Amino acid sequence: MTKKISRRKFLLNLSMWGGLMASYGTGALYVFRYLLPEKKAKQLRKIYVAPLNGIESGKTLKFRLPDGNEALILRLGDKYTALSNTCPHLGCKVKWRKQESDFFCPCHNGEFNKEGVATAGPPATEHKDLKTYQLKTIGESLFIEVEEA
Amino acid sequence: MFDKLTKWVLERAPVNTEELKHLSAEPVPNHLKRWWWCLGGTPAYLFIVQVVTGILLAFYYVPSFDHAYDSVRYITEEVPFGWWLRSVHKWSSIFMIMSVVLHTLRVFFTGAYRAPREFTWMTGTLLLGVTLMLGFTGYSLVFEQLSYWGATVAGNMAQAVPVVGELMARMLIGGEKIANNTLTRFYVLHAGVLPVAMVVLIFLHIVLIRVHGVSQFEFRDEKGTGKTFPFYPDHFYTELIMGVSLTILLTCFAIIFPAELGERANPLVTPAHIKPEWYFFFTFRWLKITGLTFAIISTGFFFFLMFIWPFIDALIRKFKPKSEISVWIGAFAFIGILILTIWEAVAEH
Amino acid sequence: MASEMDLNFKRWIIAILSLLFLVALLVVAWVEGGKERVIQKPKPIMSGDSSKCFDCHMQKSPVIAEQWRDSKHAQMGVGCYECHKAGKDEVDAFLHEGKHIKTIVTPKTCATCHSDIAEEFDSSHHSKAAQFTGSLDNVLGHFVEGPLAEANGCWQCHGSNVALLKDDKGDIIRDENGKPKFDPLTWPNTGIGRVNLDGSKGSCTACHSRHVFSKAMARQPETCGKCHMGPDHPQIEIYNESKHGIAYRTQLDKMNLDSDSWIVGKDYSAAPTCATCHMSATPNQPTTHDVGARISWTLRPPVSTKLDNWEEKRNGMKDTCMQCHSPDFVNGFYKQFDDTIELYNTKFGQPATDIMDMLKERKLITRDPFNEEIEWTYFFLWHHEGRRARMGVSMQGPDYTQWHGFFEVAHRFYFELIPQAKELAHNDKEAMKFIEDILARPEHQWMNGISKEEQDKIYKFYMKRYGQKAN
Repeated sequence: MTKKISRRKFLLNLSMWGGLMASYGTGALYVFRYLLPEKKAKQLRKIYVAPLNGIESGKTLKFRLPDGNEALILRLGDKYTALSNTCPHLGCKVKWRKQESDFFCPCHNGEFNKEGVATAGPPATEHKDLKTYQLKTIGESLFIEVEEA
Repeated sequence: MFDKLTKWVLERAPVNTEELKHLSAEPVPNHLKRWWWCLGGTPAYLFIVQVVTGILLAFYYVPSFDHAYDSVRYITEEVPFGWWLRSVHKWSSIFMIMSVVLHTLRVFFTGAYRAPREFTWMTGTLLLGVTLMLGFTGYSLVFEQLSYWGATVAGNMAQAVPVVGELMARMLIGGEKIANNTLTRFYVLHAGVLPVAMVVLIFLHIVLIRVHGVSQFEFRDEKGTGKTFPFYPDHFYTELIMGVSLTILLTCFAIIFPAELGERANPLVTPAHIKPEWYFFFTFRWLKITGLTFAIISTGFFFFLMFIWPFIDALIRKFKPKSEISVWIGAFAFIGILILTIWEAVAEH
Repeated sequence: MASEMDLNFKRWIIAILSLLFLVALLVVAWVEGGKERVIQKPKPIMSGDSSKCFDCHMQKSPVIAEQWRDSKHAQMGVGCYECHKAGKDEVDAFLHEGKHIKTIVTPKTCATCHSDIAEEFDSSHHSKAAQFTGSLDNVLGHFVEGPLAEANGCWQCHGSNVALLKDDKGDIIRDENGKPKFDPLTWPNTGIGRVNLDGSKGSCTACHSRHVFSKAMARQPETCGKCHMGPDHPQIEIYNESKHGIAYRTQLDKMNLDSDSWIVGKDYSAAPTCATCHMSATPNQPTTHDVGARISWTLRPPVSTKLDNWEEKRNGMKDTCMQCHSPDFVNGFYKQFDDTIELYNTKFGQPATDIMDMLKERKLITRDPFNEEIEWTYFFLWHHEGRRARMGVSMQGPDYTQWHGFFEVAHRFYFELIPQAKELAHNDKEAMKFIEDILARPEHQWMNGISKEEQDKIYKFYMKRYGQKAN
């Protein structure tokens, strides 16, 4: 009898305190969310690069971005890739080698595959890949997306 | 194991747990079982809500002429849950003023202010004043058109006080006209000075209540029983129910009527209709029908009378024992304020 | 036991209320989730068509795109296509990336939104600035100097008659993309009275330079100074010399030139610019894009006259003056101004004109302009020096009134025009008498020498002040 009562009482206490904790806890969670600084969603801006057929397959087009950096736009068949031409190792300019089908940095023989992933040289040991940019196709035109200043 | 820990803690924090139990089990009179006897506890709970939400709002609020409005806009429109906290803060302030007023009325009409509880009443009226000032300064901090011009009117009103008015106005708005100084002043008052004053007064108020014990009030059917019940857990639960209900209510109000943001304050354009917040409607209407200086002096006098009413009441009762004239005067004053408030609320301007 | 029941009841209530609170909070989360984040939209605002232009032109012509991005237009969503779009039938329309557009944006386009301003401007003297083909200036530019001097000199201020190049058959010449070619003499041109292909007159970008369309720029005296300068109408130099210009340069940072509302005495009180007096609002009158609305005299012709409704126009100007000056000051100035113009008119402008008319009438010179020296002399007298004197006094530039003005006028009159006229008239007794009669007027009597006392006074002055004789 007493056991039953005490179990009931326990359950009741649990639901009361548990309920209070759950509800006020949720409120506290909101407060945490309120105080958490928001990561600024990056504003992207499209910039016209070239007509789709303006780049030959197997070649790259050097494109100057508004922030002064340069992107290499590589076309392989119908696939377009945009990569920064700045080597993540020490900042030399990489270039596309058609034969080897890779990007090569002449300063310390760094190599990157066609996706910009470091495969040899100091960038590979440091696991630093080339920065990529998003490309967009609208109609027959190719656009590159960069962060709004 | 558990005993060891308890011992370790108690050695370092030598609290007498028995005393604590005894204190929290302070007997409260039976009539407090009735729900409308929590009107004193309600503003206390709301005050805690105000402190919490206020501190949170202060994380993003910037008290400067150029950024105040924008920071409020930022809180309302951009920060996650900012609108909710701001709305709860706003509604809590309104509830707080209403409950303080109701509490005051209850205490007045039940004569609970009579000797030996005069000081309790006086700290209470001061708390009412501080609550109203918190409302005014908080509203001004939003720095939208109406709150800006409300503050301007307040400055002009302060100016109308004879002799020291000029000085008061300058002290209040921190210069000739509302500018950066005004906002920082209001901010310091709203977020620093007034809350601290409030904490001190609440402390005094509660200490006085505890020292005197809650005034006994007996209903006919309970006459002579002198029953009491312990504060914890009985009354604590009651207050907890009250508190959670209030929180629900505040959140519902925040959802249904979120705090809005009017036009940005523009010192060059006076809005067609200036209106203060509703709790100042009566002064505003009074001001319109009696003229500035008289209204200020009479309002000040009114609050002074209220402050010292226990002594006036005692004086009246000395000459006319058993007289209920205080109740009549109170009723008259309350109805007067109610009429002025409603008048201002329905009047176009 | 009863109390325990009571407590349990309360516990239940608290548990249920907590649940309700949780539900309320979930509603809060739901509202929060559905809330449209009103993060201040990044400017510029662009229509779909304009954003297409912008994306490409950001690359092709980044300066233009950036200038526009800084403009008020960008914030209001008035983009490339909104202004440059063209009807298919417009003569200068061409297909570009699937849309018909045009190069030149005219006041007709601007009037789509700024119709009242366009109307004011259209009724102003500015809009008729290109209609000067019959003037002497045009003869100078076109014949005496040459067409390119005319196109790049005169027309860049007055405005060209914009024209498209046409082939022998009269068809518009277009480039490989179908874009029509402009007659290079007539475009590029942002002259204020430009006659556009759509028939509209003027060019808003003359003052509100594209693609920023800055109000501040139009309010700056430098903008007016592009054309209102030089030997024949040195308004900007006079302004710079005047107290007004000095105050402007000293307090440039207090001019509030960027303000939307720009009412003197309300939004700024540091100094007046050209716009302040001739165009901008005062507390009593609105802004006008009719620059002549407050001008009472015409100081342009050989002999100045008062304009139609000059009293009304002058009251407009007086209202502006009186924002800073007292009525006595303003009326005093107008007395000085009127009397000085009268002095020029009666002493130099009218007599010189009368002599020229007489010479022409008596066939002592031909009717053709600028082929005789005296015609150049006369032109210098009224068109350059006479205007300098008159404009100098009108805008409180003392040196332009006197040394650059009346002094030069007097020299030109007494020692060039009169001797040249006498030379031409030396065989014509009546013509000679006409000239002598003019010189016999009291204001010219000083030519016969000044009195002994006057001479002594000058001698003593120089001895006392400089210790030397007068030269």
